Amino acid sequence: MPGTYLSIGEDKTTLCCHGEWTLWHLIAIKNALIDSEIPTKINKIDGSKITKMDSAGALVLQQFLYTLQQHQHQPLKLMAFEEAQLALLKLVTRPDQQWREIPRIARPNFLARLGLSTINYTVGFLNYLNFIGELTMIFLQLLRHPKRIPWRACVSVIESTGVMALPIIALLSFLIGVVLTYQMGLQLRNYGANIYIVDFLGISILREFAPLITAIIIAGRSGSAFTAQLGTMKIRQEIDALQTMGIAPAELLILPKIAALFFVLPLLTVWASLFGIFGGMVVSNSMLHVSYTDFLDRFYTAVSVKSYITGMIKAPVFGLIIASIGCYQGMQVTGSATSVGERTTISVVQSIFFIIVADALFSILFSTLKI
Amino acid sequence: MVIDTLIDVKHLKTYLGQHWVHRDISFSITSGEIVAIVGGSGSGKSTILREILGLLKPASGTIYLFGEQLHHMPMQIYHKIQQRCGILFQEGALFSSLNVLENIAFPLRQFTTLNPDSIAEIALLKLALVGLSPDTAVKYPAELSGGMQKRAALARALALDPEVLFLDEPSSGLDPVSAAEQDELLLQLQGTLRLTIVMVTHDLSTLATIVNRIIFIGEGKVIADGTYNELKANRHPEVHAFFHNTRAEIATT
Repeated sequence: MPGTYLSIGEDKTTLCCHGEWTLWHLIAIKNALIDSEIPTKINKIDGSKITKMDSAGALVLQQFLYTLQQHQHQPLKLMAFEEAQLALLKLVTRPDQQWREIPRIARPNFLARLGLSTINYTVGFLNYLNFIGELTMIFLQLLRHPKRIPWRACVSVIESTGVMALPIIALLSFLIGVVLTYQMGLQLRNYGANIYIVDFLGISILREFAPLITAIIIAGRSGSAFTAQLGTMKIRQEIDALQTMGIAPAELLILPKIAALFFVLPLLTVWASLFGIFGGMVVSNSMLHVSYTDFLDRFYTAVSVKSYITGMIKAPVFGLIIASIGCYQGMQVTGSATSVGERTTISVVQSIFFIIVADALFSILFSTLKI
Repeated sequence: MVIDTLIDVKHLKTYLGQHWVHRDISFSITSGEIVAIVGGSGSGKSTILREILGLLKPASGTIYLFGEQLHHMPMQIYHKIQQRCGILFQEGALFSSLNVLENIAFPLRQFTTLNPDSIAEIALLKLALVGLSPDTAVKYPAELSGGMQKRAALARALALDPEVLFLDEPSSGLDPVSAAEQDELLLQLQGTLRLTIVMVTHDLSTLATIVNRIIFIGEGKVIADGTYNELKANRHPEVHAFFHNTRAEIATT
């Protein structure tokens, strides 16, 4: 009884192959090979009825012949195969069947992985310090040769990280002001202390919210862009090209970014403070009946310049954190597109982490200094 | 049903970057041929390949693949046709997040219902076919040299045993020995699998040894279409310059 792919000839010594021995029929062929009972007397394989064979089909046939050969000790004869099919069978035959094994990669045990990641973190931190040191040296050299300062690059980074970020920072700060006032207003109204919303808003926005929100937005917006840009340039060997022309990549690509964020972040913080307070004013007016003039009068007496300055001291530090981590992670990219993604993630997470750590340290510092 | 004309390009016009890359390109490719699309830099050879692959839409003109008009066929048929084509990009375009074996297995996993063992077996066969050792199977593309990446990419292009193989600059980045081996492999595959090969190449030794037919593109048109020897005898200045220069003389003597 002829099957779709296999049948046994009349004389019980011939195995006939039928139909399409291709990738798309491979499952059926394999099943047919498993299900069929092959008489031990088989010594001829007839390929005349094969209509189409590709390398996957040839591979299966070749493997089948190989196992068949192991079981019987007489040589198998291939008959009525086309020239091309024989060539294909030969092409998929390897002298030893060793290549069928995928090499295994041993996974290190827990202790080894712990040690490895400890070393990686330590080395990473040392590399970062190294990076900062190198940048400082290049910065000092630039100060001695002011003609080499890449002003154009600085201005272009200021535009892309500062000017282009104005709308989104204005909108988000405004909304933060609105939300804060609304939430606090509900509490203050219970005590009839509506006017104190001004003290609360002035101090919290100027000291904490404006610098922090700005830094987080810029970390997500520009820090990630720095990493992705430098990483891609590294993969495409643009960094190598710069280096061979005798230009330190740090001088042209990294320092302008760090310098730009150092200046841009305080400016954006002022902008964020303005819109945060304005958002608060709008809600105070409509919900707490504190008019715009009352708000500004109170603001003048209740909020000291000290609050403003403490906020402004933090901002450039946040800028340095974002830019240096963004650029450092960009330079750590190796080889592949996956690496760019990984490094960009690390860049944003670390930036935000260290911004918050720095903010906490500032709080401790200011409270011990009684500012 | 046997369709002899696999690819039919009719009156192709392409407008890119403020100028007409192709003014009127027509040619057809029949089953079993090894065709090279040739031309100077910027003549739009790779663009034609991208248009045939459906990555770029021409300004006007029609392209038929396996008798179906590109951009006008139902999605399902288009996907079926895509599975019958293997593509080797110039830079390999291996997926960097997958290792070599997973790269080769990727199309098999997507389009067949084979079990993982069978897929691994077929993928390893393709790896061996392109002359890579099994050790490379678990390496990531970033760990391989350019030439090895190219071979791995060829293995991926061959994963589904395609009927048509498109190659963009297959021998660029390969050393002469590997390039010759690759030519040999392509010839073998063409003979055993009745593969049709369409390539964009500058490699004169490939053109001289394995290519049956050369389509020469220039000035936005097909300037010449014929065998290597016919083109070598062609009097058109551009074609003549391509086949008769110091490099050409050295490479083919």
